[in-house]
Amino acid sequence: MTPTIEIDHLTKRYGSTIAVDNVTLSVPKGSVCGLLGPNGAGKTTTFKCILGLARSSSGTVRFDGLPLAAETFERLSYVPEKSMLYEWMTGAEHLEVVSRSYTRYDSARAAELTALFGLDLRKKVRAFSKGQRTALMLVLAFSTRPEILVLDEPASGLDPVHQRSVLDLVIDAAAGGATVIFSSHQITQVERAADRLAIIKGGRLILEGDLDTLKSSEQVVEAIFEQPPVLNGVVRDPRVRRIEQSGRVVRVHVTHDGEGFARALAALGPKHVQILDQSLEELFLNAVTDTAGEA
Amino acid sequence: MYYIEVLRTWRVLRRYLIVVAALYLFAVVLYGLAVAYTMAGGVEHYGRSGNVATYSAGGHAVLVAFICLLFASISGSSLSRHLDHLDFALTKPRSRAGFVASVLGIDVLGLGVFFITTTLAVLALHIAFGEAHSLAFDAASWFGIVLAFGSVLAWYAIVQAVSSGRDASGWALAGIWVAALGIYFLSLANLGPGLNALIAVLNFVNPIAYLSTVPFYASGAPSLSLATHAVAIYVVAGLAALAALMRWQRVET
Repeated sequence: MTPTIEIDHLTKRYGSTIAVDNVTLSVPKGSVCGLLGPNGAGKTTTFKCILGLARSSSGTVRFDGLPLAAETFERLSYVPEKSMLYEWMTGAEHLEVVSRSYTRYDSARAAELTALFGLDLRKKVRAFSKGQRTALMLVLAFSTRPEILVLDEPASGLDPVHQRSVLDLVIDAAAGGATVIFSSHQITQVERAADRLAIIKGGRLILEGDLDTLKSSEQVVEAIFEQPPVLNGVVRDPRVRRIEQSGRVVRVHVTHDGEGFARALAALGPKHVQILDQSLEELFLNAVTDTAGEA
Repeated sequence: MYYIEVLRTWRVLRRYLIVVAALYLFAVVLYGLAVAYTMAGGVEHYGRSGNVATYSAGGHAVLVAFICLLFASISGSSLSRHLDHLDFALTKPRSRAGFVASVLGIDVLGLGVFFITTTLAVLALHIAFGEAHSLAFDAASWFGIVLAFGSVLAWYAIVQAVSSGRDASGWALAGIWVAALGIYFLSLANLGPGLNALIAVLNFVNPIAYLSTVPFYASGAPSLSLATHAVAIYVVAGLAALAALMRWQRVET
């Protein structure tokens, strides 16, 4: 099946600086792709290239197999990282712009979302806090019941309650068949909402795939010893990717055969050995630190 | 997105209408006081005795157009005002060309309303002062009005063309005024055949030159009919609008 969003060898240069470097990424229909990366990794630039707000230096972006066109935006909503709202206009006037621009606009949905975020739409945007601006952008984005959502830090500035609401909206939209790509600095948000993961660093895509598959691609064997152990033999084991030792506690990241490695580690006489699933945070940190020298 | 332009244009027009109404009332009150004063002193009103000279309405259109140039300078930077909102403005189901067309369309409509309102305000003053009969609406007057509005449109479009790119600045707008007035005044001086010809050419794209009752073509330049001037200024407006569209097509966030 053709992916809803298909990015093929996308590159964006600003002079001699490469902001996005040969990124190839597919987001299947109905999935939620979390885009993670350190500050300045190229996440926002990637989004801008996807949406035609910045011209890509090379590469293509397709939506359901077709290049971006004005009609694409009829079923696509975008929430930018920074508020791009008109300060002199009220919330209601922004909503009026959206209602006149989209045939899919749903006023009942807009009212429901406005109530969810507790917004007073009679106020001018200049009187809104950062969180309220983000909330208004979310109301505008979701009120058209989009099939494709591009969200750049969609929970930025929101309180924890409304951050949770945003994730619920994303999950609900995906359950309804929408395709979502969103960036966040909060790994827990991505872990909760995303079923696919893409990690970008220095403009390059360094990891991409199904979140569960990626998480299970590496296991962590944790062992607690009576005394700090000597791990000479373990270090040379081909299954070992990385070892973290903190006093008597040893955490070994293995690429495969976690159970076999746990048995081997048990031979060293620890008090306790267990196999842990790799968390998204560990996955992210591994990916980012592994490429530290390359960026 | 035309809704944003409608809101913006209406807000500017509303303020202008309030100012015009206030000025009109002020002028009428002043005039009434002056009439009362002269009647109390037994002085015969100058306008009611002897022959009254007539004025071409086209001449008044020049005055109206100058006022409208100020409005055109404001509305002419409407595209640039969207530059900080591109993530909102350009992610709607409308092409960039469609976006520009809607912005220009609303602005031109606003300019038309502004021009007509100002013209009516000038006429209303004539009527209030009992001078309506001194206005002549001959063929040349109508041409003058068409030229004046064309100049306003061209001014608006040139401001759009200069300001719609990311690299434009506030100095660009000031530069347009300096350049336009400078070129116009240079055309009044005799700088020699070569420079005169150059200035004459520059004045063909200078909206202010079309607002003068003095022929803007310098000595040696061909004398053109009013109809040709009218066509020329509207062509200038169209080309400048096209330039604004082309710049907008390349705008990035």
